[in-house]
Amino acid sequence: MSTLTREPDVGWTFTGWPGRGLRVTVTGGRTPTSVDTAELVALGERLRVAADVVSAADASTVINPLEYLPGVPWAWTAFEEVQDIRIRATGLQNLARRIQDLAADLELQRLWYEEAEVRASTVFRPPVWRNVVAHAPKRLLPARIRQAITAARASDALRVGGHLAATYDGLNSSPLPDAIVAQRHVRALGEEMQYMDKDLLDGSVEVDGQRVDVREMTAVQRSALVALPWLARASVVGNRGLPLTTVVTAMRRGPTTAADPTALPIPGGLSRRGVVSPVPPGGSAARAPGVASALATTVGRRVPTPRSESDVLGRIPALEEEIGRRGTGAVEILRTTDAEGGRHWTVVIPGTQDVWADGENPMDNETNLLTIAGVRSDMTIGVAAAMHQAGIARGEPVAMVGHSQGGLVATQLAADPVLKREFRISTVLTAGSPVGTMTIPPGVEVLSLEHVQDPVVGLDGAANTAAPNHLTVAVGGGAEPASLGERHRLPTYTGAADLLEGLEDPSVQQWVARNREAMGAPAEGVRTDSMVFEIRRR
Amino acid sequence: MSDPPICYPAQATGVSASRANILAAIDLLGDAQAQLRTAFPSGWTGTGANAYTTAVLGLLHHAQGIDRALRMADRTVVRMDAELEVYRAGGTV
Repeated sequence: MSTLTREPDVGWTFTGWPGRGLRVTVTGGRTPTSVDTAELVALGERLRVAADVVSAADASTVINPLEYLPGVPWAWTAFEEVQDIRIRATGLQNLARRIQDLAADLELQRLWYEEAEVRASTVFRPPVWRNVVAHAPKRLLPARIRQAITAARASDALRVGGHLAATYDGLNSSPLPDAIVAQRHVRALGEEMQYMDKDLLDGSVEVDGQRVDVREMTAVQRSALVALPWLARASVVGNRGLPLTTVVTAMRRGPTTAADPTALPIPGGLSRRGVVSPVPPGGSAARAPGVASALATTVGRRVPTPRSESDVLGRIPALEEEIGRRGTGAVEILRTTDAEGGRHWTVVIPGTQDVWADGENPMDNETNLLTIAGVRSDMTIGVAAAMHQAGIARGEPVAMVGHSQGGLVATQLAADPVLKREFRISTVLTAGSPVGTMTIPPGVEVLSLEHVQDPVVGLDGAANTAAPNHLTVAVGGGAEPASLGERHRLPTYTGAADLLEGLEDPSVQQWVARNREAMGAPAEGVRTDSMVFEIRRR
Repeated sequence: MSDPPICYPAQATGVSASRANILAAIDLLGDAQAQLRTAFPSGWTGTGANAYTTAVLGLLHHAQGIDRALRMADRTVVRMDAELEVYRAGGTV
C-alpha cells in the first residue's frame, strides 16, 4: 500500500467529453490531495463487479413476443420498448460501458500515481570492477582478467541491446500505456548504462570544455551523457564528417543593424560554460566555441494575437516547414503590445528536427541528451540569444511554449539562474516533453501536457515532480494510436491544449489565467508581431 | 433504493418467462447500484476524488433511470400476460 500525503500533491480530473472518450489526469498544483493507491485498487474492483452485474441485467432484459402472438397484437411494440431499455444512450449497455470506462480511468490514475511516487535515485556508486578496469594498467593485469574485462564490455553492449529490444517489444505488446512502459524501461536502462563511460566514474565529465558534476544526477541523466559520445561518433556519418560547435542566431525577418550578426555578442548571453559571456576587451567572443551571439532588432511581422494555448502550439507547423526548407533550427518570438503600450512575450520552440548530433541544426538529439542531463545545449543558448535579440526587457512577462524538445529547452531556460535575472519567465507550457528530471524554480509556473500513449514523455525515466508550480495534465483514452509514436505528434497536443479551458481543476485554471496574462491574450486592442530567429551551429 | 417488485393479481397463478426475466434484471440492477454505492472514496481526497465522486453519482443517476424504465416494462409485461390469459380463455381483450 502506498499513500501520498505531501501537501499540495496531486489531483485528478475526470472529464466525460462526449464522443471523444478522453481522460485527463492532473498531478501537481496547489490543491491539497491525499491518495491511497490501495484504495483506488479496491474502488476499481467494485466498479468492475458493478459493470459485470449490469451486463447480466442487460442479458436478462428480454421478452419473447412470439409467446404473446396472436393474442396480444402489440407484443412487438412492447418487445421494441424493452430492447430500447438496453441499447439507448441512457440504457443498460451504455451504463455498463460507462462503469467500465470509469474503472479504466481509475486504473490509469493508479498507475500514474504509482509512477509519480517513484523518485529517481541519484545515488552515485560506480561498481568497483569498473574503477579497476578504468584505472589499472592493462599490462599489469593477468590475461584471464583482461579476458573477463573484454567479456564484460561485450556484455554491456548486449545488455543495452537487450533493453532496447525489450522496450520496443513492450511498447508494442504491453497493456500498459506507452508513456509508462517507456519510463520504466528507460529507468532500467539508465541503471545499466550510467557507468559505461570510464570518464564518468570519478564523478564528473567534460562536455565541450565544461566540467559537469554527475554525482547528483539520476541514472538516466548520467546515461544521457554516456550516450553523447556514441551519438557524436554515429553522427559523423549523418553529418558527412562535418563537426560543428558554435551557435549562431540570425534574424530572418525585419531589418538588421549589422551585416554580420555574429559580430554582436550580447553581454549577458549564455554560454556552455554556464556563466555570463562578457564581451572580451577589443574583440568578439562570438566565434568562440559554445558562445551564442545575437543581433539586436525588435521589428517583426504582424500576426493574429493567439488567444489560447492551442493557438500558440498551432504556430509550430509553419515554423517546422520553414526549418525543413532551411535545414537550420528556428524559434518564433511573439510580441503582444496592449493598448497601454505594455509588452508581453511568447516564445515558441518546436521539437526535434534532426536525429543526429553536431550538425548545422541544433534541434537535434545532442540537444535532447544534454537537456535531459541538465546541461546547457546549443539550442538553449540559441533561444536565449534570440530572446535578447528580440528586445525582451527585464520585468516584461514571458510565456514559453515548446513541443517535445522545445518544452525541454523552454523549461531549462526558465530554470536557468542566469536568465532568471534577465527575463521574467512567468509560465512554461511543455507538450510531449520528458521534463521529469528538471527542477522548476519558484516564480515560474510550468504546465506539462502529456499523452499517456506517447512514449517520448517517458524518456526521462521519471515522472514529473508533483510540485505546486509544476502541473502535469496527462491525457489518455480516445482511439488507439495507429502507430508507435503517433500520439507524440503535434495535433495530439493542440487537441489536449484545447481541453485546458474546460477542466474543472482550480490549479489548471489558475495556470491558464496566468499564462494568458503573460501572453497578453485576454486584453482588447492588442497587437502581436512575430519574429522568427534562425538558430544554427557552425 | 430500488422499490420492491409489485405483485399484480393477474400473476397469482405464476410468473411468465418474460416477466421473470424483467424481474431478474431489476434485481440485478439493484445489486449493481448497491455495488456502486460502495465505490465512493473514503481516504482519497482532493480535486480528483471530488471528480470521481461526481462520476459515480452520475452512474447511480443513470442506473435509477433504467430502474424506472424496467419497472414500467414490468407493468407492460403484466398487462401482456393478463391479455394473453384472457385470449387463451376465449374471451376478448
